[in-house]
Amino acid sequence: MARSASLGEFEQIVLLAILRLGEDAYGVTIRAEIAAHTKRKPAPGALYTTLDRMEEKGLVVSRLGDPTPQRGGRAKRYITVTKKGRVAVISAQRSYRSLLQGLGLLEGANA
Amino acid sequence: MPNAFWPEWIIARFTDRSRAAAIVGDLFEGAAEQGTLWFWLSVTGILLSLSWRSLIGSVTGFFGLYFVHALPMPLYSVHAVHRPPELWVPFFGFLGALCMVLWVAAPYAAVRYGFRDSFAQLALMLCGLVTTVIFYWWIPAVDVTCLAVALSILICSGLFAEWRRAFLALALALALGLGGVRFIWELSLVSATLSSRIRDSLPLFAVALQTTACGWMHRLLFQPNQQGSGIEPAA
Repeated sequence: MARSASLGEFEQIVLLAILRLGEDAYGVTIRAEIAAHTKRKPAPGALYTTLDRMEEKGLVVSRLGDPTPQRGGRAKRYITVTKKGRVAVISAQRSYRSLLQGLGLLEGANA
Repeated sequence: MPNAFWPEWIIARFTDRSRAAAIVGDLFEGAAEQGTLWFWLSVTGILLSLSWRSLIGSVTGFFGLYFVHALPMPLYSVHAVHRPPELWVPFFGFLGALCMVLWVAAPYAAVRYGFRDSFAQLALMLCGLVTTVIFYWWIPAVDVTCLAVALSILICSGLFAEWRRAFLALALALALGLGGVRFIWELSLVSATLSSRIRDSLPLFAVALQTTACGWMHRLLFQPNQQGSGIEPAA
């Protein structure tokens, strides 16, 4: 079986946000989704370089939408997670879950 | 609404035009809520994120060139003791010029794209190979080893698509760098008034030309617009 791509913490967060957003994942909504769930708003520069890097690795693909007047006639770049990206995020989350098992960190007073 | 022509134009220097337009479009949406100051701060942050590797790579390339400029003295002493045959002199002249641009391209590529990138790996290998040949050409074992490595690189470039792209990108980037430096040098010989200024800034021109050529070729062959790239999205 081929090894899945290794992911950094921020890459996992971005991939999960894109998966949650489905068809509506682009720069603005991804930042908002991350902010809503992690209580920290990523810098736009960090987000776009991460998206570019993940696209180079084949973890996500992008397509351009239609230009809108609210965006000064510029199109949205919609992002979709590829199979490879999905496998990578599942593998990373399994590793986390395996490491957490038996520690009880998410139970009782810590929950 | 902030004027977005210049931010978009500058961002497009470090990524492709459609991405730059989409980024600025996103910032427009944000600016409607968070204001013009946020827009410009975000543009600055994005530019820094997109360009820092390129800037540090260029500085590293300049140090590479500085280092290779320090090589002629030991090189002369080596070639004084082990004088190459007359027929080989033009070959060594070409290798010397190639060595100069490779000492800019290899450190730049290593910093800009990382050691895992095949373009950077090839540039570093060729840089080591050419430098070794120039200094140790008179040792037969070194010649044989370098020849074997050079042949291996050529065979790999023929067999594997990734290495083929790296070879093509690097060959074109080095040709542009060498041609550009040669052109500026010729220009400095034509114009007497400009010649000293041009010659003084030739190292800077050389680094700027070579790093720009590497950036163009890498983007052209390794980062084409990935729309419709054929990668199947997850269900």
